[in-house]
Amino acid sequence: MNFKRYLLRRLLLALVVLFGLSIVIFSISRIMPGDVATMALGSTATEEAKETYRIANHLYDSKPQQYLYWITGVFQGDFGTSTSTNRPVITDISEFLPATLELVVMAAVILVLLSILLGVLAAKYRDTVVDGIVRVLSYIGVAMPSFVIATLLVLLFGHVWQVIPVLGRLSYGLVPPETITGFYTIDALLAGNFAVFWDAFLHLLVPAFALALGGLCQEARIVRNSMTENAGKDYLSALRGYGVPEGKILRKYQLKPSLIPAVSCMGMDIASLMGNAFLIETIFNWPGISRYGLTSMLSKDLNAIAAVLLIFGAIFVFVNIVVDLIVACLDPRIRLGGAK
Amino acid sequence: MKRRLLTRIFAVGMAVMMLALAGCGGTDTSTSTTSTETTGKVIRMTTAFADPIDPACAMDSASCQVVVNLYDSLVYPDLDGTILNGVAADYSVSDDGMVYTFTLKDNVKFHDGSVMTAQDVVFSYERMVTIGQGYAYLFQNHVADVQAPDDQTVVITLTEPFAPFLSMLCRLYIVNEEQVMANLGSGNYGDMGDYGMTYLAQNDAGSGAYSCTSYTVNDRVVMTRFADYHGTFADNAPDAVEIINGTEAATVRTMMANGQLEISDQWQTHEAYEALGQLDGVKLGTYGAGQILYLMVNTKAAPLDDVHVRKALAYMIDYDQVCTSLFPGYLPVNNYVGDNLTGGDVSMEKYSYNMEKAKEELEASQYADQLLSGEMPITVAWVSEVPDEEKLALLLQASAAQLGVKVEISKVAWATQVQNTASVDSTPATSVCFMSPDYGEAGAMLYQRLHSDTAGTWQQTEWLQNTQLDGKIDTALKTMDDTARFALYDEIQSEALTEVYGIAVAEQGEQRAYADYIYFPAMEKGIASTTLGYNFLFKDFQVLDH
Repeated sequence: MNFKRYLLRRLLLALVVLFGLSIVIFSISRIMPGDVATMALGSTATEEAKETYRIANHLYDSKPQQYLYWITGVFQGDFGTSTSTNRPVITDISEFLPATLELVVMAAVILVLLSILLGVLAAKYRDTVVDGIVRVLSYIGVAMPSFVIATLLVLLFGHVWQVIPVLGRLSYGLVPPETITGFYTIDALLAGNFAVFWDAFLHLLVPAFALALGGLCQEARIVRNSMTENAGKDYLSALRGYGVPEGKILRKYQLKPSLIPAVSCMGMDIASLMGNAFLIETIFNWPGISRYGLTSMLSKDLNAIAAVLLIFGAIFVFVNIVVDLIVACLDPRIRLGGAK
Repeated sequence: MKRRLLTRIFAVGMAVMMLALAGCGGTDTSTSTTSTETTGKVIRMTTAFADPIDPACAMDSASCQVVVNLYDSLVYPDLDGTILNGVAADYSVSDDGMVYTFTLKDNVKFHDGSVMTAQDVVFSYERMVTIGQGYAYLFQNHVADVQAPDDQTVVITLTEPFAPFLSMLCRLYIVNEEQVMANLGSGNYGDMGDYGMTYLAQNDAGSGAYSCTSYTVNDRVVMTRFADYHGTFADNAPDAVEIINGTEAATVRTMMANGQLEISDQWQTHEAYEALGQLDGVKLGTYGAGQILYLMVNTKAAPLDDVHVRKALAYMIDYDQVCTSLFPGYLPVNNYVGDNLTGGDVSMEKYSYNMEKAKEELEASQYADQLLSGEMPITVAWVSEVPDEEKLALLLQASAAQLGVKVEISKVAWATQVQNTASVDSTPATSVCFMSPDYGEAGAMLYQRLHSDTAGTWQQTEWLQNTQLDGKIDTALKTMDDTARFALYDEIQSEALTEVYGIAVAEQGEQRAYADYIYFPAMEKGIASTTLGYNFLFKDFQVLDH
């Protein structure tokens, strides 16, 4: 019962956050200086064309009215038309979002698995060479911006040591699978096309690794420190005294509580991957929504910017709820405290 | 208990995600495919992304490179500026220069197999001016009427004589009326809905040498050879062309090294080109396509409202250094519009690097004390998408510092620059900007740079609004006799140089890296079209055995 109230409270808070976010995004996109019609159609557009645009986009109405038009459209799945692609923004999003989600999911998997693995290894072999290597790698990974890592990886795997493809989603000449989910890997499997699946999977690895690296290194440090901190707890000594195997103590009684701080950070990092992906997508020629968002910002495509930001915000909120729930499940104190 | 809970949460999360993905993926599968399986002779080229490939909107270099291959026009320019027949078999001009009558070639086919008629030309014109974007503004004030008295004849009546009309006419791309009307979406144009804008943003309805077989926004355009094209292809012309979005240096280099790219974009830095040139099977080439690197000035705001300050800036630029070490391959400009434009090939007395004269001019200006003491900085804005522009800003900063003048460098995104130049107050004191003529004649550049119609656009940050100068430009453009017209162009250029209505620093050497098995006409012939896009008529390219 307490947990249900906790969940309900989190969902209601999320709605409030999304509502606030929508107002902020709309306001920012509409208070930019300059004539919106000129920005949208170009400085050489005829005055008639600009006037048609202003009327069609309700630019003569008050800002609250404009917001109402916009948010009503959003609820109907209509984000307006992109001025840089001349298509409904929802069409653009439907094309680019799966590509980024596929990349982010792969990056998240790499982030979670490797960070825990490295953190546990460093903690288990604390103050040894293994720990030292993991710590040095962690510092490098945290300190180096992802675009530097990405550029180096492109040059390494694309130029010097061509063992794995690095650019785009598929190799030249391969036809993408029919769109079902938009994930090439899943769609290829559903279509029974293993060659395309494997090629798409290989194309994911390097950009996903570059995207995950910063968070991965940070989380590995957190897991390691948390594991080290818990290693000296009395209850572990008691378990050893009862003869519980060391492996079980590590997995069940030391690692599990040590994951709580890391999971919170992982949630934030995974949600941030969406926003951080734009440089990765640019460098790896990945046709995703982050690069679309960047292009929209450079061309001041207001409808596209608002849609991309709102979607990023919604994903961020959603991931945070999931993380909060996972943490609440791992630690009953949080769950119960949240219900008060 | 906890494990069951976790499992439930995971299952719900996955279900939500799959539903979301199903929603995303199911919206429009036709546009979700990317590269097609292109075989045979292929040219792949990177570029800053081609925005809509709708011929009524296309205006940037990437879009023009695509559109000139997908669509035909009545006439089009050769590399040397000669006007050739496109879908027009022949044409005549009335004695007063007001009426142009074109006869279409027989049996010109659109990509869907239907035959082009004169009515398609009329429809294309009406569509372009109604939409009012792209190059519509060129025609808006000059064309009174376009008629199709029969299926093969197009009659265009002008509002007044306009000498470079044929040069301009290459921007009227002919769309298939029937195909567009069958694909109207909802929009702002009454019975015409969206006038097919959504459809033509990612599909083509043209009759050009290539048809669009795949278009993915922000990724690539794939064009394949049109078997029923009315014109001729060069031997070994490519079967397919892929225009790929992306100018990131590491990406371009990797693609080129791996044989995934035949032609690079033109936006790499000099250092990046040097690296590309060292790859096996890759060569570098440069041509002048009439694109001028200008230092534009705001003549309506202090201190550039004083002609002495403008002259001082003109003397501060080391033009030789620009063309040799700063931008190797760039060409000196001997006048105001560049030497490659029709009617622009004239050598005039220009400013040269001379710091003594710069100092004299500054001392003669009303802002001498503030400028020489560094109290009044001069802003130089450059566009972030073109990193090379910063070099000129830095060069000017270094020269100005010798005289104690402070130059503040401002990096702005292109969209911000467009926005800033929309009003006098927000227009930067000076801006580094590349400028191409809309069509290959000096009058086009003079109009774009100096006429009041373009004040308040990125093309003219000078804000001249000089009715006398407008009159001279209008008169020149109406003068049908070439010799007389070119003389008027000279007069206008001379005034622009004397009054320093912006500084023509150099003509861009459009540099590209390309595979050595590609025959690239503009590179090989050493002659390049000054009309944006027309150096990339891929029907004239060749993919040699390799």
